[in-house]
Amino acid sequence: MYSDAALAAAISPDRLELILLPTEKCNFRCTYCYEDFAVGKMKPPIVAGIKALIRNRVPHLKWLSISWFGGEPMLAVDLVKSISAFAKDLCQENNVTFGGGLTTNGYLLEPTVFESLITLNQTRFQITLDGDEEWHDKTRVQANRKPTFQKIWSNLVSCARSASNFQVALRLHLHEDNVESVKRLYDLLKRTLLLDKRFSVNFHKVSALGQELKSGPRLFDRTAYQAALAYVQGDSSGFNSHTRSELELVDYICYAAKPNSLMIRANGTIGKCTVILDDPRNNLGRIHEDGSLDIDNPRLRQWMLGFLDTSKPTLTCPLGALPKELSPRAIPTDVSTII
Amino acid sequence: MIIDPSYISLGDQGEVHLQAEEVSRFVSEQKAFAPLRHIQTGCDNKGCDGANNGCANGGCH
Repeated sequence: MYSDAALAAAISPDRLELILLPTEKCNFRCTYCYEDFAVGKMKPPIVAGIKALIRNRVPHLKWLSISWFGGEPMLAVDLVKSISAFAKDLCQENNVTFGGGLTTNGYLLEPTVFESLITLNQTRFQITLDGDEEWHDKTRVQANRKPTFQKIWSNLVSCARSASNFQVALRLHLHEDNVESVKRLYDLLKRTLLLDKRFSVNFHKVSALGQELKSGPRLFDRTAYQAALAYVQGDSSGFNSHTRSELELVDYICYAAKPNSLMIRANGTIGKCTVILDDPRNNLGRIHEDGSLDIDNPRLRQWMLGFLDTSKPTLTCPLGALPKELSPRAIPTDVSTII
Repeated sequence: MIIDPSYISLGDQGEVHLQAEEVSRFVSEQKAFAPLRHIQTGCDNKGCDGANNGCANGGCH
């Protein structure tokens, strides 16, 4: 049962969430990753289009959020800063609440750049760890196959020394092979970073997203995952407010279901879901350099079917209820003219 | 509240159009929607601005 506030926020014209992919390249090659890294860094006409969109919309908003995704957004941190600074200034002028954050692997999140992002209201960070060093460095490796845990941990410890206001959500990935490793990491976190209220933990099971995993970890079914969660968390009294899993989300409506949330890829394509990037059902149109959008509304509405009955599974992940067939489409999908 | 997606569209400036009066009224009556993350987490910090800026409770978890 969703609250009226959550439903209203999801469709409100006063709110806008932009999920921006400033580059689709990545410095990691996680063994279960579903992305193909084919699209590179966002080019100037797309950046100009996003700034124009923000300029056009902010006078009509009460709330603007920018969530940075990728690829690894820190590889294009110059764009993250440029667009964030533009949006922050405009929101201040128009008395609009502005915030945002990054889904990052954390490898490049060094203290100086971390603080600079916070000054631009980019204060929320989601960083994934696949266990302690033993397992993390098997599945979350650099493109050159070198390990990553120690560098990320060093950055996290540096973040904790900051006096700034931020939130780091540590996403702990679980699969059948890394339960002991995640338990060791979680026990370490409880003694260290989770003593700081700015840090929290979200458990998440590794899934085969949009592909069959040819190699990589063995995946949990739901029952085994619940048992693993209970084992890893053990006696975590006192840390409940800092820790949850995707099985415990309250009032959560996926950004892909919300009409006031748009994903803009590095090539200017507009979509909803950050998982099925190249699925035609996720290609809703494109952004132009003047900030105007071509939007296929019939296709957009297919992502909002969960509002018909406020179905929790459909609003939590509209992908599952998405029709297999494409809706009729009025606009071209070719974005080559604006790249 | 049941919301028919056929009454929702996006304009060419990225603006949401709510084409049914009852849906539009429903949204405008939800004065508390700004601090959504705060609502989701059951936080009692009434000063929350919904963007985790200056949260006295250390931010949404």
